[in-house]
Amino acid sequence: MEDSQIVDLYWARSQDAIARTAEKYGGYCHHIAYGILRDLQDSEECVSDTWLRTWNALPPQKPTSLGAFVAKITRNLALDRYRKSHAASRGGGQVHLAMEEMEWAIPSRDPMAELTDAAVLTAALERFLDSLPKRKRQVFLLRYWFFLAPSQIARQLDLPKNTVTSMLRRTRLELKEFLRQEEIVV
Amino acid sequence: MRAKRVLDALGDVDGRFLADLRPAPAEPKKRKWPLILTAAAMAALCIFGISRLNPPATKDLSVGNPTEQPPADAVQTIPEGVFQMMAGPLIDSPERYLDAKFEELAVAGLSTNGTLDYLRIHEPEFLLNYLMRNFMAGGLETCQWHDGSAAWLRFQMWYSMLEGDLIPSETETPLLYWQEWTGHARNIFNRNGWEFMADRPVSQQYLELRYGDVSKETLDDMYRKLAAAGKTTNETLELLKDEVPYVLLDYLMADFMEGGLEGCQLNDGSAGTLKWQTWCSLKGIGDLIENVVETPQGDWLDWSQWAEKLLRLNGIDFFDEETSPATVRYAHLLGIS
Repeated sequence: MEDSQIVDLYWARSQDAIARTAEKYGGYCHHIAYGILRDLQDSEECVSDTWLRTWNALPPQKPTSLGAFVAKITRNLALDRYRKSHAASRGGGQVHLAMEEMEWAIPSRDPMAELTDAAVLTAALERFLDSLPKRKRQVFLLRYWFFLAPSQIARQLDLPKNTVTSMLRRTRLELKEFLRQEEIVV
Repeated sequence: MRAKRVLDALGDVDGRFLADLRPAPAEPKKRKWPLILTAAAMAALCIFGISRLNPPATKDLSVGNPTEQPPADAVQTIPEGVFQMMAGPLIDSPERYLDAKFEELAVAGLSTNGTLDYLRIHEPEFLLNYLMRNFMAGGLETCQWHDGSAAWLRFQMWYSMLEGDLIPSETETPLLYWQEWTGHARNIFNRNGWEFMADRPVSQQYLELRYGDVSKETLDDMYRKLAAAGKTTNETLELLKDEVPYVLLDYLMADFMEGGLEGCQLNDGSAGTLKWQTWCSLKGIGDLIENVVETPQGDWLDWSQWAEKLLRLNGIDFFDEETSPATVRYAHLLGIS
């Protein structure tokens, strides 16, 4: 079923919408959640929460890409859950590693500067992503959006793991320079 | 926290960036052996004989000389750094610790058998606890509720007996449900003219090859003697764990290999008994061995009927689907439910 048809079901308040979404994007969302949480049950709960959030959001929203829409919700929910469960002790996993990597990529903050608005930061990141060659962008997003391990990315894109690692390192440096030029303060 | 802001903001980027991205679930694939076999994998394969590199063409699952011992260097070729790499704070439970180890070793290109050998020799406590936990959790039925790695481990061990080792060709633990693995395994077996769940000659072969009946019988005997001496199930397990951890480890691994409850009927019922008694203990029913002083003889069916009677006397439904799906399944299998 096309995304638009499923979205129409949401707008018609048909509960079949959830079943159709789960059928089409259940595995996708589960994979995203699992990549972050590394726990099957937590991931399942996260995906269930995604359907609830989607149900509550449509209407008024009418996403053109339902896949991206539910993926974002899943990612946010999984990250929230991950942070809650790792609040006491600094946890591990790909999220933690990705954050550590990213921390190095961000320019030092001027303590007097005001933090850039989240929406401005997102817009800047979109410009940055647009500036990247496709393959590089894919690698970057698979790492920092989906939190895949470099070995997983290598396998998915059929690249040597070392290539992925060095590509990520270069992209982080480029991001650092980009944020500096844009005077983005995070 | 700055990284958190960036990662959060990244999560809100336009959906078009995700259009051509979808993390692909790992599919079991064969990798070209000459390219990927590490020294450790080669050594591990030597344990079972190079003949296993080729899938057997018939149902004859000969596995080589049962007395063959792993070469001393079979587990010493594992890179030292692998375990150090994993000894970080990311592991918050023993299962995850071992799961992560297993995964990392797999990523490092080690074979299933090489990994198991390593863990058996260098980390027996972890492996023992891991297998005991799986054993107590009821085996297959509960694997799907966890991260699948127990089922995956079981499947890999089993599969590797037939077609060589999957892990080197996978490079990591797949993130698939057990059911999907089962489906995959079933297809492989069907292609080879075997029935996936019909029998477990491989497990049997594995037992004979790796541990022999001696260890198992030794433990059965010890278990009976301890039970006869009035030891409870838990006391017995604890004692065996302390006194003969490797025997218990082998014993539990053997049961693990056989597929849990379903495999019990093929043996003398002692694994089923042990599992069932442990289950009773965990359910708070108390320890049955203590009450009956000795472990009853007889096959599993005798045990089931005896247990059912005893539990009913205590107002407990033995075949309660909610609390013991494995038992129910087993009962269906035997046609006694």
